[in-house]
Amino acid sequence: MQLRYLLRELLHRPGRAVATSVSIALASLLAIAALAVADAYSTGLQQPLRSVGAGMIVQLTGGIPPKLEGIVFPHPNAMLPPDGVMRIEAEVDGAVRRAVYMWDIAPSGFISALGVDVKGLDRLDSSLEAGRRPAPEASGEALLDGDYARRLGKTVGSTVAVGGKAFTVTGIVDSALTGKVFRADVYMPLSRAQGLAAASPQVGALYPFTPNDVNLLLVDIEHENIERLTHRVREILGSKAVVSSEMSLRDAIEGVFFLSRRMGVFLATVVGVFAFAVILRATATSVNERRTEVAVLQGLGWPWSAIRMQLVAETLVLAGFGALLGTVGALAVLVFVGAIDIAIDLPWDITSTPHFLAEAQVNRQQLVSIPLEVPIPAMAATWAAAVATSALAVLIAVGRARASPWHALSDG
Amino acid sequence: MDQTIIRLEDVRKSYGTVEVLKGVSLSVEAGSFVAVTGKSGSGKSTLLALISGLEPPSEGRLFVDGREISEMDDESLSRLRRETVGIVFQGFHLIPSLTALENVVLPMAARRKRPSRAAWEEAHSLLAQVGMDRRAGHKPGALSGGEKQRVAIARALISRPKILLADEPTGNLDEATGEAVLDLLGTTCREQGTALLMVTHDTDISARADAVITIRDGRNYHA
Repeated sequence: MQLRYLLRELLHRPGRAVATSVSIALASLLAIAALAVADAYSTGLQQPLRSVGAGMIVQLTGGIPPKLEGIVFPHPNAMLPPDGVMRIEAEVDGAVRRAVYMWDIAPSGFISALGVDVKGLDRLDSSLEAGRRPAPEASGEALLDGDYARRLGKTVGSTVAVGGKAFTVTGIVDSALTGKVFRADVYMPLSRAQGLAAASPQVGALYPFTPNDVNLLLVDIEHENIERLTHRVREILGSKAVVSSEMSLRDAIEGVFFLSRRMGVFLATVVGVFAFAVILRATATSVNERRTEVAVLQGLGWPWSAIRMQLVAETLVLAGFGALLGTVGALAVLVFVGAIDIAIDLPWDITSTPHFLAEAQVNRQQLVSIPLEVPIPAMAATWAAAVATSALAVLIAVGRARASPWHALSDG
Repeated sequence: MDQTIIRLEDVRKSYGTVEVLKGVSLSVEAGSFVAVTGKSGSGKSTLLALISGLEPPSEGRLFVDGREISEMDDESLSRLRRETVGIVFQGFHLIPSLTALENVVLPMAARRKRPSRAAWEEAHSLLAQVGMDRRAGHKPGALSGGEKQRVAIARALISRPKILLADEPTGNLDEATGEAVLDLLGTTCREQGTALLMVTHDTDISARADAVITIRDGRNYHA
């Protein structure tokens, strides 16, 4: 490959060089931007559940309690069978946190309460805006949601009653950080919540709930394993299993412009195919225009492999420049846009407000703001695709220029 | 000692159903000037195409510098053109993006490496020999027809080939320029001991040749 010849040739045909580079730049920009937005949407879908430290939440559909008073499980939540819990825990090698979620309904209103294990309390530490976490085995300590505390004028050291039991408020958690999935007014150690539920007549009327049982499993699972585990959980718990994950939230995204990671790859592929067609056409036209020149090189003793290498190198330089230009453009777009906001209507089964209350509809929607990040793997894939498609295009075009060099020279 | 540099034995060439050469047998001595004449479409250019290895014969045997080229692969044929055969075309066929000097050195860049300093010096020397040293930095678009052909001759001679194939090299030039180019070709080939095989319609040129081969109805006749 002759660098001097290559550079002279590119400068000699600036129109072709610019057209090819700009086509590749636009395709690269669109592909990278689409994949970045798709990544952001995919990350956004994980956010609501991640706010409770889970990639997946497992519940079971249950019955309606005889009376909506005192401690009840949120309809349609039910007690999880102990053997089912253990089998699910075995599936993910123990990456499961047990929890009890309940409402305490009184004529004056309701309180939502979530009992979490030590890991759950650890997680709430990061949301503390005042005070400290309750001791796991302490009998009467709890955290309050910031909004709830302010509404009732509670502070650290105040008391709050749940299921007729008094709890001392040891800390206040920041509502903005806890999200809306199973947001609770009161957070307490798991054993306290299990005790309250086991003592509840309304729970007892439906389930043989003991102080060791739970009605929620928060599963720490990676994106790529969600589909497999969802299938497995349904096998274990049967048709009444309710499995919430980013998959089940996809339908809940507001607006018509929805991008999943898979859709992003699809869009990038469509853009890539379009770019390939443009590059192939431009390259074929260029090679056809240079058919005589190719024949001259053959006549001067250039082996076909060297001619092909020269033409491939020219196109790769344009492709590399175009991909670089597109990447810079895409980065500029990502920096300019900054972040995207996604409004997610949470399904009833993971919201915290009883659906029969007026404010429930308002409290269902969670707004997630996701910063657009530079998708390094997508950039690498885009670069590889630009180089590969350009090389393929020129090889296809060059192959057709090989025949009858003498005729090309005689015609010229 | 056998001085034959080109030998054809009953060579035939067809394009589809059209048989252009119908059994050409000839030999060319090293360092000689042979004119190839004939009517348009008689197969003169096809003969050069076969000898250069740019077109394969349909039948027959073709020897260049003692090697049969009929069965050579692309790499061997390229080496043959690079080291043994130079070609000058009626249409000059200089690379428009390169300067005159870069065009001349281009055959030396065929093997995927940069031309050596000696190659550049040889190119300069050849351009001086054809009277184009002051135009070495100009691109073909800035050169006249005669100047382009001088550059093309320098390019064809840079590897000091044993054979120079010229396909109507003065066809696009005015009479005075054509005469100068012919003188240049004759002188240079004589000095380098290069056999010159030139396709021409011009009887004056044929008269200067050591031998004339006339192609008629796809067959050759020696004058």
